[in-house]
Amino acid sequence: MTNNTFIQTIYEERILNHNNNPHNKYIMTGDNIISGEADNISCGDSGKIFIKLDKYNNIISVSFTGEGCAISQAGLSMMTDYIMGKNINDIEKITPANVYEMLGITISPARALCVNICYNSIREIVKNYNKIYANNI
Amino acid sequence: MSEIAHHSDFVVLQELANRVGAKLIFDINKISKNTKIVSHPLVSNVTGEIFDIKMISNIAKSVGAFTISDCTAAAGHININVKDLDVNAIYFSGHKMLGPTGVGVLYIDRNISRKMPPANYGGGIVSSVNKNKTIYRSDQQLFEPGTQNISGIIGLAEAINYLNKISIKKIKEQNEYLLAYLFIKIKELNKNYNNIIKLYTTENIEKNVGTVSFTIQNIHAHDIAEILANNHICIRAGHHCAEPFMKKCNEISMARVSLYFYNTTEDIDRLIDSIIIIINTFNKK
Repeated sequence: MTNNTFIQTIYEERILNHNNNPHNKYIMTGDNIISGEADNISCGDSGKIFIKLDKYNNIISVSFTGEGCAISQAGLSMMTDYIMGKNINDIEKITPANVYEMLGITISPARALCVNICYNSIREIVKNYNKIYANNI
Repeated sequence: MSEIAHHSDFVVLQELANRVGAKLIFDINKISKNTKIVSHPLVSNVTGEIFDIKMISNIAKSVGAFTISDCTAAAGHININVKDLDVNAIYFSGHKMLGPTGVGVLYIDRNISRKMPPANYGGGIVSSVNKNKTIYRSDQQLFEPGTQNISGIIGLAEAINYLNKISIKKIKEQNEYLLAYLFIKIKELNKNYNNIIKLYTTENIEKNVGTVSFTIQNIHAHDIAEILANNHICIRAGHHCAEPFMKKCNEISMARVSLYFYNTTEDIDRLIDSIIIIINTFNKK
């Protein structure tokens, strides 16, 4: 075997870069942090996204933690870049299709659960935001 | 029972223990007169290790416990003789030995099965049915109500005939030959890549059916499997339905190579070459 074309299918440079050098990977501490976490029970992968909002509900700080495959971890890293500065109302509108578009690769059904960690973390953030908001009124 | 057990073994006994109020114990040294069931796989589906079931069974029988061995990872790889194993029950699936899915074999010692009630009720398990009473059969058909998976059973029988024709002894020898070659290649790779591959297997080839689980430092098993699949190499990745063992090893998942008699040393070369490319790609900064 002299070439490595077989490796290229979904492991684009961009995905590998996010996996090897993740953006915003740390545990956020302090007050008024909203987080959402998700896992893939079939393989034990996990992810957690943290956000901090300003008074207009715009995301002013974002981070993530997690453990798992390149797809799930690159997805989380890319998602933190994607949502930075966005309003919580925009976060609520994120769909799985948006996540696939953000990744920019074709995901096989077998790897859909890896991508879902990223999407489900966002859904949990929205849920937790709504819980806090509901308690405040 | 064993921490290395497959979930199909583990979960069933855990559920039984919950239902009857029994306690699960994972230490062979704690088998006592209070022990009712002793279950241990003949072969681990993760490490490929062949266990000394006869020794475990001797201890279990000395306290009068019912003995079970999950032989799924062993069937088609080594000869299985229930008398030699000296257990009360064994089981295995068809699809781990070139047979079809959805069919398997359950053996229960006749002296015990004849005292057991049916597990499920229906046609085919009866001697006679009257308005007031049904008389049940006493043979193995008592446990096979309803129409059987006929095509599956015929398929499994053909798989067994096929493997017997090749000879299980020859299959085991070929698997040992392949294992020895794979271990040499992994050692060479580890020498050049600072022990990047961690093996979860028994390196005694006589005590291994041909199953080698491993992790590669900082590369997830699902990524390894997906990339190998793109190069037409099929491996299994994940927790291998053995979560308690994964936790014991402090791993969330492993990659597993399952060698069989149709594999060749060229296949192993291709595997190793592919792994080197994966390592180089993932470690590119």
